[in-house]
Amino acid sequence: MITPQEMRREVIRMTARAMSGHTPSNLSAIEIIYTLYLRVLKLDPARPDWPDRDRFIASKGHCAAAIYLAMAEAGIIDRSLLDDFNVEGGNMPAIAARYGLPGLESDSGPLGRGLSIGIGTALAARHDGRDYRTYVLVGDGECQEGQIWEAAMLAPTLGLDNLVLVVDDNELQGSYETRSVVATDLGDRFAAFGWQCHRVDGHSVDAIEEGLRAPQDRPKVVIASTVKGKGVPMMEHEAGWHSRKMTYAELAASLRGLR
Amino acid sequence: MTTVGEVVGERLLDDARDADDTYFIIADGKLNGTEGFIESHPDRWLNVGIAEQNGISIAAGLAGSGKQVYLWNCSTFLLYRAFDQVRVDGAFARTRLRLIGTSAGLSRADGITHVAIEDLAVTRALPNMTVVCPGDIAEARQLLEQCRAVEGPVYVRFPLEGYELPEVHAPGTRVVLGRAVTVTDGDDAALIATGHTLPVARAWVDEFGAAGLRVRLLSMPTIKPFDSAAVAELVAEGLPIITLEDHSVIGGLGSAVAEAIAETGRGVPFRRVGVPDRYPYVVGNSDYLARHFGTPGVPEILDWLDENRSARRDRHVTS
Repeated sequence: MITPQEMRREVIRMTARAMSGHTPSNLSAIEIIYTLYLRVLKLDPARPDWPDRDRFIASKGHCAAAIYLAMAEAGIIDRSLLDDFNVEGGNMPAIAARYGLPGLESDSGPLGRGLSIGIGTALAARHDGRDYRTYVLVGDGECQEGQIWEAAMLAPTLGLDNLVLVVDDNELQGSYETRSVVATDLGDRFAAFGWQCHRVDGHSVDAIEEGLRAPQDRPKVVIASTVKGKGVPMMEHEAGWHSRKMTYAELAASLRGLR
Repeated sequence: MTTVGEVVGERLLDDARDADDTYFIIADGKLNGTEGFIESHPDRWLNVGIAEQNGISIAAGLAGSGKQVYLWNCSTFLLYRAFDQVRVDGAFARTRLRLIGTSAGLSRADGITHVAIEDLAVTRALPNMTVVCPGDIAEARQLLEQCRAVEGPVYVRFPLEGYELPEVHAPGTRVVLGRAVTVTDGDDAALIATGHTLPVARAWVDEFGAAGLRVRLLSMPTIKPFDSAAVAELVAEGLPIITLEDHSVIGGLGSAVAEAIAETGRGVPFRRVGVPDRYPYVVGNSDYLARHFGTPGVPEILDWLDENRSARRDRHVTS
């Protein structure tokens, strides 16, 4: 099975080859996406639309390369599809959207919607008597969207113990340090709204898995502390890399550093 | 008489009887007439609170799980507050959202920002969106029923939720999604109306008749997909066309008809009657606001038809 570090290398190749940005947004979320697809999510590769599958809502769809790669590793999509990543005429956009792709549950892009969609799928599970769980991935910058808090207010009232929110807390948004824009602590905010809150090292697969699997009796948020651009020193903690495309020299340097 | 809320309530109960996939989401407020569904299916009713964006995306999550979800609100809150969610989680994702908007047009004049005079324009521009604007009880009942089979979001536009839907069509009239309905025959001019201007247009036809003009009335209860063929037939007959809507003259029925006329490659005298490109910064009911805006009525349209007739005669004589 692929390792997170190998995923990181492959994702860098994908985004560089596709001349797409958001490489650092992918790199911070590698272990989260790895843990979800390869350790936690209940999926049936033969049936991407299996009604009892766990739902993963990529609200932060900017990490599409990592998601498609993990889907291929989990057998949900064919590996050859990865060659279509952000390629003209393909259906693998650099910001995750379905375009008919099997196994993807939502269309991302405008931020802040995924937690609400997750409430919808979690409600459907309860009403249909199915025991699948819904996992939603958002970024910490994304939590500046008002809709996140509309959803955060409602989910505990609905008693959704089958809903898990994962925050990729990489401390950077598009162009700024997240805490310089909104300084209050995310975990405290969710806890105040009635959520069960777990803080984990977002680059430790075991810690993430423990957080995801921790028993819950209400909506649960796993705040994964990560580094934006993790593994590539020139990108780490650098807001300027958010949308930047890599040169071949930068790609080579990035891959060398990840050996 | 059946109100808007009651006809929606009937639809919810009928759908719930046929299948167990029907949900009803509100963001505060109460739609009188839907109590029966809420009481019999409490687990399929949800009040998300005053959080319209959350409501649309939750509905999309349910719809993505195979459900059909009705949402009701004032059109302004339903669409404008949550437009991005309607666009991405509704139209782009092609989910089975049934967006029931009330207080459309100038029908709710007590709150000036409540006026929804751009709702047809914005929904009509969304790919995958179906836009329905029922003008009487037959249109409301039949089109709401046909919405069930639509694989994608539908916006259904009504005036006030307590509005009593009139009976304009003859009993037994078949209304088909995407098709115009001819209400009266006539070959002096054609009047096309949509939604709650249909009974107004029907009264206009009688007034035109009293003035000696036989006006063909078409009801256009589906704004998207649009029945361009019905407009093309009027153009082929050379009939002057008037549109009547409680919506901005930009982007709604008038624009859709103008596009259909233009694409025939021929021209006919054409007049849009609706809300001018202005907000009403004044308090008043819809009749007051029509006067405030100087909205044309039958006398003005008769004058316009006369002018066009003489202009055409002059052109004919000089050529």
